[in-house]
Amino acid sequence: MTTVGRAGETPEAFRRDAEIWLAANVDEHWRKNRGALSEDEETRLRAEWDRKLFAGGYAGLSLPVEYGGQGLGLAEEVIFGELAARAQAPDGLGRIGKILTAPTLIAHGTEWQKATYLPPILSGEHVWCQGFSEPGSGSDLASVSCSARRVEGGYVVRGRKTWTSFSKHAHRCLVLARTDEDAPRYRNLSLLLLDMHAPGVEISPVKQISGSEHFSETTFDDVFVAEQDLVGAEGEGWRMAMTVLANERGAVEGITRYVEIRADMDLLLGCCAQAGEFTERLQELDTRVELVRWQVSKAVERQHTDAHFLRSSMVLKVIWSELWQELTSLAARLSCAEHRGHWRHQYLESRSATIYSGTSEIQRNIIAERVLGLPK
Amino acid sequence: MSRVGELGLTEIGVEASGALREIVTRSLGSAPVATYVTEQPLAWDVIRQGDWDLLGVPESDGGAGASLRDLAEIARVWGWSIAPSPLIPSLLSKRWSSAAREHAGPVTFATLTRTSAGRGVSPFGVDSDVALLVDLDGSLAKASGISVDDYAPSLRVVECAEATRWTPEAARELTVVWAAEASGCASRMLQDAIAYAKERHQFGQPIGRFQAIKHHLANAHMLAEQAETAAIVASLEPERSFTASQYGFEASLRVIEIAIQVHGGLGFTWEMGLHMYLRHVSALREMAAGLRA
Repeated sequence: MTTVGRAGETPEAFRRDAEIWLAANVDEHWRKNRGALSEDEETRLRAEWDRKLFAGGYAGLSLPVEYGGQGLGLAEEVIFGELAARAQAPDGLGRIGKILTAPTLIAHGTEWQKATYLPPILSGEHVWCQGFSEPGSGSDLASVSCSARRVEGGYVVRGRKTWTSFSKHAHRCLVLARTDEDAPRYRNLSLLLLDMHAPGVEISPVKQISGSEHFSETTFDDVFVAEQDLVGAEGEGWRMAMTVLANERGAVEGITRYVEIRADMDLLLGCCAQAGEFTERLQELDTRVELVRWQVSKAVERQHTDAHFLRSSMVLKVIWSELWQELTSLAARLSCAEHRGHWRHQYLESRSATIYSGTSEIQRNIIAERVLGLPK
Repeated sequence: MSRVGELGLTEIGVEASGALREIVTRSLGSAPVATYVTEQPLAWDVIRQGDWDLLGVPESDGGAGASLRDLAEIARVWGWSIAPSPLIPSLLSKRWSSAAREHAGPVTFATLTRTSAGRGVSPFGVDSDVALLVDLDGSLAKASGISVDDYAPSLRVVECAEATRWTPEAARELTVVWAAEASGCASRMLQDAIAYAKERHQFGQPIGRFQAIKHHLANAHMLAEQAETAAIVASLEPERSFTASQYGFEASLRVIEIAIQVHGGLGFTWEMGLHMYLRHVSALREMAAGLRA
């Protein structure tokens, strides 16, 4: 099958086609055994999913057609995210490349960078990871100390990055590094496209409280990055990292999380909770789960008015992550024997949701400052 | 009716809520609620002249044919000012009852609540010109008021001998509209609290710069967003009308409580008037709870 641009398709037609495509393409073996697959097998199926998305014309839905995307919008990203979660589709390995690297390069990259890096991102050939957080720079991201020292023909990168998902499989890393020791905060950082197979890159997995190993710590010991792999101007890294990111991810991640939380809620209501037990509390949680879905729809409908979109979308992360924690905490109390393992895992796993991609505390600061306009 | 506005709003809802916002802003501006809550800032004549009370009447009966979703949007606008005029009860009474429709003046109804000891609780029943709808398919009555309940001045409640006999559909619609009105109250209180946090200085800086205040207001914003979303869900998904409305009332009340906290000492003065919204929404919640039989 060849990749065809989908621009011009109505959202309804898009939904219908995507549903059919997902039903035909999600691997049965994956659907039945996910969670119990060997690591190699999981990796293989997730990588295969990226290639299927590309072949089916579902890679880069909201990226411009001229760069190999589908030229659609947030509405379609959200529709596809919801349907894929319902169909229990794998999460591709190429996620960081598509949602982070590609939009960044489209906005700020050179023609050479776009021509070189975008096609393998979309086709699923290249996996990317994100080198932003460091052991010493979490919520205060602008304080990163990983350095990129100027040398002939490029930079030498030295430092440690952490919470790097996909690093084991990654070909490249989008690194936020300090290129100037004297420049003021926010103007001392640059964005580099680092080759993960270059000499000096070392990866060690980080085991989480649930027992899973989704993240790694990555050490750069004088890794060379060529001049041509600097994105935008030197010292502009922070601005670029911040401008592209945030907004769109909120709605797509929100709807994906909704589907997962809905499944947990249904399991709790349909199996574990005994009649008459915590009825009112369960009903409230059930209502709030649905409000997540509607809040996403509200945000999508308001996407063309910046202020309105921000008001309804910035709240999503805190709302779903805290709701999921309340749910798993109650479920851990009400669990039946059969689902004990599931709820124990979810309870522990959900702890991370209010911490990663901006803690709830940082999110609240952002809501107060960017949405409500309170002074910094 | 074709879908033109956001999340199922029809043209009527978009236009009417916009026009109503203008009327309310023109007559009240941003005047503190305490300055008008015991007056009649929006005379019935204004409402009647604009046919505002007929918005929800089906088109086949000569009305504007607004949907429940539209009415929720209108009620949200109304909740912004809680002007003490019987628009919302009249609008709904005339939607459900032909006798109410034929009556040019305001119409209200009476609900039974947990604490009303078998009496009907009638918003705006205090006013002698307001007729009472007891049977949705019968004629109108005059409320035989027993005592005035002045807990929420903006609702001008009287306890009366009669109670309206609801149909399940009317009870559902009224619950949704009240929950939407409550979410409008929450949005207003949030806006006032944000403005206050920016202008009030302590320790040499605006209190809105302190993280403790920021987090209060961020929470209030998230709750206000969810209260609005709950009202939309309640109006569009009949099987969720009661549960979503119930959550909407709780979220809206919490927003107002936070607004009072952020206003510090002024927040609990009678004069500042924030309590009028707290009273208004808790009274709506109580009356709505009585509808869910």
